[in-house]
Amino acid sequence: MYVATKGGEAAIENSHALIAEERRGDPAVPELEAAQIREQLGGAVDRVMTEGSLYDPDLAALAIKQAQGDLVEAIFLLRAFRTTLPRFGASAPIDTGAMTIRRRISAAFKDLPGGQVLGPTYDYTHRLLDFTLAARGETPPVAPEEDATDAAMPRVADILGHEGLIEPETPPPGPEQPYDLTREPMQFPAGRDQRLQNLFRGDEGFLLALGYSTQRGYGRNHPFAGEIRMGTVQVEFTPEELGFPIALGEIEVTECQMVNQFKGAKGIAPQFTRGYGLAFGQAERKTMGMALVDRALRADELAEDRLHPPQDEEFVLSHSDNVEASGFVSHLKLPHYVDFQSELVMLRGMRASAEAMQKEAAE
Amino acid sequence: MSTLQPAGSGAQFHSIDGVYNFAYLDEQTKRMIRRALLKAVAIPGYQVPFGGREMPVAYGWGTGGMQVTASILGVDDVLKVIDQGADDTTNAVSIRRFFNRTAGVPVTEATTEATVIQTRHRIPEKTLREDQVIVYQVPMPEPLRKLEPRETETRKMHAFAEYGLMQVKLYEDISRHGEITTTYDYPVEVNARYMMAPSPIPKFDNPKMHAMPALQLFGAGREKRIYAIPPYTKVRSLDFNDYPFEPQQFEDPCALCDAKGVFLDEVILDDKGDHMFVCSDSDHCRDRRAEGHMGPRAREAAEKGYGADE
Amino acid sequence: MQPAAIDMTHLKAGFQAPVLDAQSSFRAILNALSFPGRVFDIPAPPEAPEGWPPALAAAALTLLDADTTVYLDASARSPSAEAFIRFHAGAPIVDASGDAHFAILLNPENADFDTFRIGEDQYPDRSATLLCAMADFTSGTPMRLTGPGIKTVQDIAPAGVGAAFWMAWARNQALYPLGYDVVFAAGSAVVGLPRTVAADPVKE
Repeated sequence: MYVATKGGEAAIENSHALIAEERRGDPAVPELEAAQIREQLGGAVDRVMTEGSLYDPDLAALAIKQAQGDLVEAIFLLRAFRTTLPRFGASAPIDTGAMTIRRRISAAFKDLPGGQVLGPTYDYTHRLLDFTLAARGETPPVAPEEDATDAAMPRVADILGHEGLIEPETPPPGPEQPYDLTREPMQFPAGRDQRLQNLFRGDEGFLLALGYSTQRGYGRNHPFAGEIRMGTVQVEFTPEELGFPIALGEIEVTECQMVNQFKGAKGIAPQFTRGYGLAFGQAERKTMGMALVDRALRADELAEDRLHPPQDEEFVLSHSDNVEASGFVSHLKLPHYVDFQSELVMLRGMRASAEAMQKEAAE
Repeated sequence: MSTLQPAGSGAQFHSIDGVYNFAYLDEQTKRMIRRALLKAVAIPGYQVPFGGREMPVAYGWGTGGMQVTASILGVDDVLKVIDQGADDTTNAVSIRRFFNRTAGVPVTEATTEATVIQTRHRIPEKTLREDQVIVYQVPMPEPLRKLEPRETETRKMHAFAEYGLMQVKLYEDISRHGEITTTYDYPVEVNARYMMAPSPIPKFDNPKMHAMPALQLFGAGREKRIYAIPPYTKVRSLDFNDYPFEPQQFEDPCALCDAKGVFLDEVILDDKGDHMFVCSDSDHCRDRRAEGHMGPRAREAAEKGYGADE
Repeated sequence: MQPAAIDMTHLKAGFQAPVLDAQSSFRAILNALSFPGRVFDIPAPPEAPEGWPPALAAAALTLLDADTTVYLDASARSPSAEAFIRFHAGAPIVDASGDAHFAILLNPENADFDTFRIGEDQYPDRSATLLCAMADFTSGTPMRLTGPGIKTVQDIAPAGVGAAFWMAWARNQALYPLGYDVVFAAGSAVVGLPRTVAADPVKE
């Protein structure tokens, strides 16, 4: 038995050699180390970890290097690795109320317990290219003044909750095990656990655009950025054989709680509603888009008219995954000549009979 | 007690390359897919949802077929992979290399030697046998999807065998064009119950699905569905009494091997309209030429003293 | 809830080469359901729980894991059977047959077949698979099978099921596309009976 060594095989080998060469670029320029990517391209690393659904900055950095900075490709690399890992179980829910805060802002209140903590953000930078960075980044670092973050930082949603002003967030009834999209296929109608998981893994650009469209009237839901907080939280896991939780370590996350237009019903006083966003690392844009879309997708639950794409669960959840989307779009590059031939045969046949009919009519 | 190892312990790995499990997928994933396959066989044409995994190739490039193949493949198997009927198309080569590396199974281009055939867009011309399994790569498993994008709706249609939507579509074709214009991925009814997408094979291949002696398995990775047609199962291409199903027909034989009644690819020879038709099934064509059959172009070339396919 | 510790004293060995044995065992079961009524050899593990044909143990090791619930009939349920399933497969054992993805029946003739899962209109795959022990496939009531996977007819005479089973089977078959599916196991061989298959007594 043999392995075909034909044009195809040689072309593939060749292509692999070419991308390796492209990736390295000019050998006179020092090669990038994965550690440099991890430390200096944090925004890319965080996005790849989030949409790759694997918290591992080193592997995300490696994937970014391997993919030449193509983040969708890097996400794919990380996902394909993740899928080979054994699953031990589900961790305890992280407690973002107990977060060690680096940044925390609320657009809904001027001040609040724990205060506003600006932390690291591009928000107030002037978007002017900084040519000192081009000169090998030799800006002398100014020691940043640490924000006082020791104070207790209750979540805005909890503060509103004490007064009953916002709908309570209670775990859905049913089994405690959350839906695991990496092990079960999507199912409609989707529970909120399945939806949030899908949005967490969903493409940032897709969610940003959909969230934006809700602001422009396609499923408007009057959002306030109730709170965005970013920092580190503990991850705890209870191994079956131990029966008590152990700390696995800390992860950095960004959480966005949108506070949306209020709702009331017979016997229920009007309350604000929620939209929720979460991502690994520093990912405000992603979590805000996610929170807007999450809220829009609750249309049925909140008895709102479902008129626009961001409110359409099947539409959003079926198309949010960029690994799936890029795969299926790019598969058009594969040969389709058998199907094309089938169409050619049909088209020629139809044209021939149309010609014959015209001829007949002319005679 | 040294032979005892708990389920899922890494010590059971039978790895070819020292990194991944035999045939890449872990055992738990294989078991999940295997259970889905058994239900698929028990409910011919019904799409079984399964927890499809991310594969190291892109969605849309054969991940469903690969997961099915990985779950059935054993050391005694001989694997053949085709795309567009040919073994040497790039993606077929790529998938074959993947299994050769991760499972170490022998691979072949000969349809008759293969025990497992993974395919995209074709069924081989040679009649498959009972001891063979054909695995189709499926991009869109839902035959009704083009007519109704919602899974919640199409699932109901299948549950109650409400297939009027497709009948209407085909009928509209006839009233507009005088015939059904679907030429590939032509919908079929399996075991007189489920409507099924045969994957984008040309409708030429549809009749081969009916009562095929080999087991037919279908894997859609991105859409996370598996389905099957058991051997000797009734497969009917949808049609109407007054507009019966008609597969494509080619007027000319294969220019190289003279085969008639096979699916042909059109090869463009110049920019002035010269073209020839050759077998889409590269193995079938090679076999026939080895047996001495000669098509018009091959004969012409032989008379001039050079090989037509060089 | 932590189940009690596994009773290792009764534990029987599993597959010797788990990855490859599970694969060939699966292919035997896949073949059995693809060609209903035909007998396929299955690689049996060296030991099996009391009363289980080796083929039954092979099928259980191949198909069960922590994601599948399993029901054992009274004859099948023994300390060694429980240890076998929990240690090798990690499958939760359920007491109600209606909660089970898989059922292991050593005494299928006495089972209450109408309690097994038959799936749902929109999800007919959410149905039970019954693994039934037989003495052999030749000395029971001769039955003639027809349906997908069978070119013309296939005769079979599994010893271990009789009129009660075949009557239940006729009811099951009428539910199509809903219904449960059956794998018979005798010695080191299996026979499949998917819900698509009709069974009629062989007329002399």
